[in-house]
Amino acid sequence: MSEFEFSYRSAIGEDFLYYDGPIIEVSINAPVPLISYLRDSHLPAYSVISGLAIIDTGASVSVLDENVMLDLEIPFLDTIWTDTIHGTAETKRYNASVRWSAATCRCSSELCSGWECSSLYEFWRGCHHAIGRDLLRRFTMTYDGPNSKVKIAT
Amino acid sequence: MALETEIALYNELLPSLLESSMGKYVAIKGNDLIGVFDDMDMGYRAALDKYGVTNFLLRPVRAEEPILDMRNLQFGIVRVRV
Repeated sequence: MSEFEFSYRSAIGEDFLYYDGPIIEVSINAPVPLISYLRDSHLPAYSVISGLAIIDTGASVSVLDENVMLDLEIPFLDTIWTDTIHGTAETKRYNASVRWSAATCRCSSELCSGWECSSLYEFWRGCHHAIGRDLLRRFTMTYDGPNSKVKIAT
Repeated sequence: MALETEIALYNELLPSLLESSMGKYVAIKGNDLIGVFDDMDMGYRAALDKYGVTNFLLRPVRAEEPILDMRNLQFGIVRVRV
């Protein structure tokens, strides 16, 4: 089992875990079938976009920033109806690879919904990805509030 | 509505797909049923090989389409095991 620890306490003691919630650095890339297709077709590879992801145990599904999907030119593969606090809306579904620390987490068995993340998070600070329970169920997460740390084990 | 043609064909084929291919993935572009595949990657690759990098439908065969719930998203972390 691999364990990754994310510290949220700054040098001056400020507790970012309390203010921001668990936010981790991620890189987002095209899914494996698309990368291998481009390679086999001698087409240029997709770029990788780095950003932040918020771990949201209150969300049943994970969300990818639709602007990132458009920037990467990753096609959408399905649509689905989604209940939000603003009502029910149709969202596009994407397949992508999201990498954080040493773990690569693919939105594979379930596609991720594309959404403009800034419309979802009131205190959004450049988050490109919200990791919901559909992905979290693959990991063990420990929320260590007193020490401002989050540990994720794969 | 995106993928309207593809979803209409999927719904038309669904009764027979449920009998033969429950849990598998179906790939459709326009009115072309590209195929039914054991997993998503196989379907994805087959669709790319035939149509290149474009939007198409890649959907698991299931009796009912779920409605996802993102109503809690704005509230951040609400429940963890410590």
